[in-house]
Amino acid sequence: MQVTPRVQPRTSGAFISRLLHKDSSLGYILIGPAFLFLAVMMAYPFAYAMYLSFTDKQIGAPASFTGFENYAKLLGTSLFSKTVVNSLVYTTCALVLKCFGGLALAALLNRPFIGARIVKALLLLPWIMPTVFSTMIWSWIFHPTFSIVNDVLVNRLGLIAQPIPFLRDERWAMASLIFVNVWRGIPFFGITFLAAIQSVSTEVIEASKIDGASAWVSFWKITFPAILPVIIIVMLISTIGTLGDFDLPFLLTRGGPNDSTTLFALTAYTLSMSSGLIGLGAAVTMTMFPALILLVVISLISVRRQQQD
Amino acid sequence: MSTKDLASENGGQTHITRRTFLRAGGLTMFGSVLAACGGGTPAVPSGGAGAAPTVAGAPVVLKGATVKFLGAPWSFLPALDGVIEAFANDWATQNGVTVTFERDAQLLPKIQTAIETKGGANIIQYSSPPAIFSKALADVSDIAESIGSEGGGYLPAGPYQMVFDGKWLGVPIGQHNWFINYRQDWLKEEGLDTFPDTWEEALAVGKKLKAKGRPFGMTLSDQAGGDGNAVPRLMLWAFGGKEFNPDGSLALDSPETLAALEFCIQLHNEAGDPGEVGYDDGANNAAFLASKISMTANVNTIYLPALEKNPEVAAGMNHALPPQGPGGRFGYGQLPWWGILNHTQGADLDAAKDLMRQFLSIKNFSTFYKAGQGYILPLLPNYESEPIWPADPKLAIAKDMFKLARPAGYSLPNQTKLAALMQDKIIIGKLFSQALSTGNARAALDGVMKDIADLKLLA
Repeated sequence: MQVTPRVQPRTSGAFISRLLHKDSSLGYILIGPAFLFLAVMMAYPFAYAMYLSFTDKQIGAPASFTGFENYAKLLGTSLFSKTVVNSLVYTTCALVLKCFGGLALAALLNRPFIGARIVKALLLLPWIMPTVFSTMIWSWIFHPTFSIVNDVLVNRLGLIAQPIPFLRDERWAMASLIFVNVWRGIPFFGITFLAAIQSVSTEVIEASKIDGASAWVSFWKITFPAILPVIIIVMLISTIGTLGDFDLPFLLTRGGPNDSTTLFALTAYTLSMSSGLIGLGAAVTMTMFPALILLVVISLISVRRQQQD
Repeated sequence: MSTKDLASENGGQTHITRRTFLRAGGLTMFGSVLAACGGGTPAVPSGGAGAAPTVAGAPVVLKGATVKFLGAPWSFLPALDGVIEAFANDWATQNGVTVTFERDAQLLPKIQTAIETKGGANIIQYSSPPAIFSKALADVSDIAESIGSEGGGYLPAGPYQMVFDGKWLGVPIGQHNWFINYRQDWLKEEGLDTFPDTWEEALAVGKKLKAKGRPFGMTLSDQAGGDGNAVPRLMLWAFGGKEFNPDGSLALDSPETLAALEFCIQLHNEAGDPGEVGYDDGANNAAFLASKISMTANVNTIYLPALEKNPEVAAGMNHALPPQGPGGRFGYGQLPWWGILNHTQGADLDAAKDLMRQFLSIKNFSTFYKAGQGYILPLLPNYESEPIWPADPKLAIAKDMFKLARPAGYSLPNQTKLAALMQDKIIIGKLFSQALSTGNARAALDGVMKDIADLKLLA
């Protein structure tokens, strides 16, 4: 009996087949599309923005390398110092309020009550509603002349004599902006914290109650430490989003009055888009980069530690 | 289109290439054929805004060209979009040119994208100063000069804002002028037939009106790109203040500016709506239409909607020239313009220029002004005798207004980049908003002078 030897056909199909069957190459193939997408959509624009920040690029004109001139110019302006202070105040206040608000919300939702599922779904509305839509509503609520809040407080209840200058006083404008950010962000914090709380072992909590711990003590001594890694990650991710917030100040205050609510992204936009100073606008975005990279590194370390635990 | 025109389109070079010679020859032949056949007769436009302008025959060389138009919609008066599109479509049909329109209220990012990608638009329609795009706009001096000479020479605002480094960056299509919109019925209750002629008299009646819950509502705010640039300047200039000296140096920090601010603080406190320092462009319209305020400064965009939707307000209101102050009486003009992005080349450039040249000529563009009913006024004196002025007696003020208006930073011979940035960043609106919010004119002026120093550094 003759046996015909099997000859491996040397075709491209066979080559691909070999690659797909090798663990060493399969990993690269699977990660390839995502890597390519990130390279084209994220890394390239980022690298290009970094390049522009070192140039005198203006709209419609070629760019010339100017080194750190844009950064030096920015540091000499009150606009940039206002931007930094505003961004820090906005981010810090919004995060603290969202964190404590989210914890309180999660603690409340963790108790069984009739209609809990519907309430949870409804609470997510501010978060899932398009920001443009919700901010338009808030801009009417805070309107300088037609504010419904002022109408109720001044005209209907007579509690205050003068309308509250929500968007026309510098401090009130920042407070209004923070309030809307917190309103939009609390549901996400609350639902995430709730999921974390519900993963904490009930036996441990019940054991602490048997030992005489109050609900308050039980929460701070057992639940809170258990969900702390989740809190840290949510805070870090939210810090990145809040620090780079654009749509809210753009739609609600346009950075005013007197630049009191302009944040990094809005300053970058106004410099590069309305004023045509693209190099300067890019430099503003780049000043955020060291802080953001630090936050990303911390968040990655937190995730890794959590996985190890 | 003459041989000279063709030469100027090739970067202003006067030598005639073989191509331009053939093109010019073709045009001459085409003109002769048209004349022989009775061609070139203005076509009757179809659809659109009804009485659309007429299209004259254009050179055959345009056939196959494409013109992409990018601009914001005339949201207050959509009929104006209709006039432009009716003319352009007729012109396109007659010349075998493809014309496309893209309209977006968030126009700036689209213009920036078109400039940087060198595509997506040929003609842009914009309202802020063109100096910001100076490196991306084609020289349209030939069009501006021919239209200007046809109209009796542009009012100073035209070349002031459009000429940069000796060339016209765009052709102004007119000016928005802000006049006083006031409730005449309420003023009559105070014993006045018309709005006072001076700001002092206006303050006196404003106090009485505010006491009855009918305050003034002027957009003295940095939240409005149109009104926020216009209304504060009406006040600044009326008190003798100005942004610049003719030599380009800053003139804002002056006793006249402080006098304007002090007066406005008093006007705001004693006669104004508290919210006016935070108004956006639509807020004063809404407040007036809701009968919350008795006076504001605006174009006709309160009155025209009121005629349709709020006839009681329309019946009770009227318009007046801005009152005069110690420095005189001033109007403010904001100039929308058309420009050609300089990546437009060859037949597309010829077509874009021809479309602009024909549409903006008096015989065609009168339809546009007429449809606006005073919303946009001419910059050419010869329009005074054209039948473009609103028939409604409550809008008759437009004819007195159009020669009164000045653009932002008008003392300069031409608008500088700093002046354009000050307009873009609503610096004068910010000055008044700050002064009125805090009651401290000096501190507000100091703050704004720092902002201007920032702009000088950045620009």
